[in-house]
Amino acid sequence: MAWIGIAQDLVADGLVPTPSDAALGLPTPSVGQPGAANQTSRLAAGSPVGKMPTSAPRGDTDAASSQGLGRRIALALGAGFVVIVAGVLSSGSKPRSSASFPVHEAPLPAVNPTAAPPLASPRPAAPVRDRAVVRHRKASRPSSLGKSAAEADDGAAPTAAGSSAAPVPSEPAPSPTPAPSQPVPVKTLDLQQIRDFERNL
Amino acid sequence: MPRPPFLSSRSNRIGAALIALALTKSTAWAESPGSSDTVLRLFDLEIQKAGRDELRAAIRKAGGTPKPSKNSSIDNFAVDAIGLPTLTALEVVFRGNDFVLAAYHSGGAHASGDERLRKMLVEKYGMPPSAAKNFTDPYGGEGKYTWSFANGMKLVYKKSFFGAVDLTYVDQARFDTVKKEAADTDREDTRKQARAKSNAF
Repeated sequence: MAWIGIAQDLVADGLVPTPSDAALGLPTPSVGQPGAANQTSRLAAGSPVGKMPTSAPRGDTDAASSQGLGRRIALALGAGFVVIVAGVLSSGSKPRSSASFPVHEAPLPAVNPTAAPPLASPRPAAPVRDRAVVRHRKASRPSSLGKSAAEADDGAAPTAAGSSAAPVPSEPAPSPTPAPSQPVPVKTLDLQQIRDFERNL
Repeated sequence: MPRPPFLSSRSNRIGAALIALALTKSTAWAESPGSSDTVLRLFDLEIQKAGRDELRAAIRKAGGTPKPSKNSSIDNFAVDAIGLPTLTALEVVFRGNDFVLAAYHSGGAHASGDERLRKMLVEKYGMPPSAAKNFTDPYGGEGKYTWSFANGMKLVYKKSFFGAVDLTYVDQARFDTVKKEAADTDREDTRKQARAKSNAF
């Protein structure tokens, strides 16, 4: 094969490092570089393996140290890559436990059926609040007016001589049963109510 | 008799004839049917002459439950227990002690059972004069249909586009009176409010 012959020529000329050179961390010789020509001869002369020759030229030392640094960086990157790949593979192959759910499969919080919903509690009716305000005002009224707070709370109407401030009238709660004997005002329907009924006629 | 100029062409004559036919049909549809001598009764009472207490008692006896009303001229009842198809509420309007109208309402849009209600109405009062033959069809009845009775009383069945059903018994003359009073009151209130707030708008 032609390319094998070319490669053997390059190795023979010292332009391509042999596997043993690469294992020793020796620099790749190039044309014009000091020491390129006697690379093979130095190895043949019995230089200790893994040890830089003491009489090596300065250019050889710098190249060797830079190549060692490159190897260490490459090894670190490779190790990191292996660690990452191992982590990915191990996490992908790990069976999903019943306790760990992805976010979109997280179980809903348990609902207590006996607990009342937060918005279900009715607001107190206005008339009740008004009555409470009236009761509070009556209770805080000074007793020098000639009437005790307990008497005022009995529902007796305050007399004009006994109280200077008129009580706040509270709206009566609508009676669920129409009282049969209550006086009926004649005109209480407003125009909008009339229109609502008229729409059905 | 000379023919008007716009009727000179044949197409114009056909168009005019179609318009005249359409107007005749729509006028006949909108017109209330001829007065009947039948007295309109509700809960075994001649409602036009029934007093307020009398009508209240009759509604309660039939199964109506009084509900609170914000207007002293209107009595509200829940009538689910009466057992009419699709009708769940009844409003009765009085002017003083005089009956003005009673209006049944369905529970809401797409009320079920209105077909049975229409068939029951036809069974008792006959086909409404303004109705087509499909009044009792399963998905028919949309629109307004009127039966007329003695002394200006009317019964109106109305089904809205969305399926809500209203059934109204009305003394038309009293309703017109109440409407006029409400309009007068509204006009007076508007005048007073405009005078009181004239510097604010």
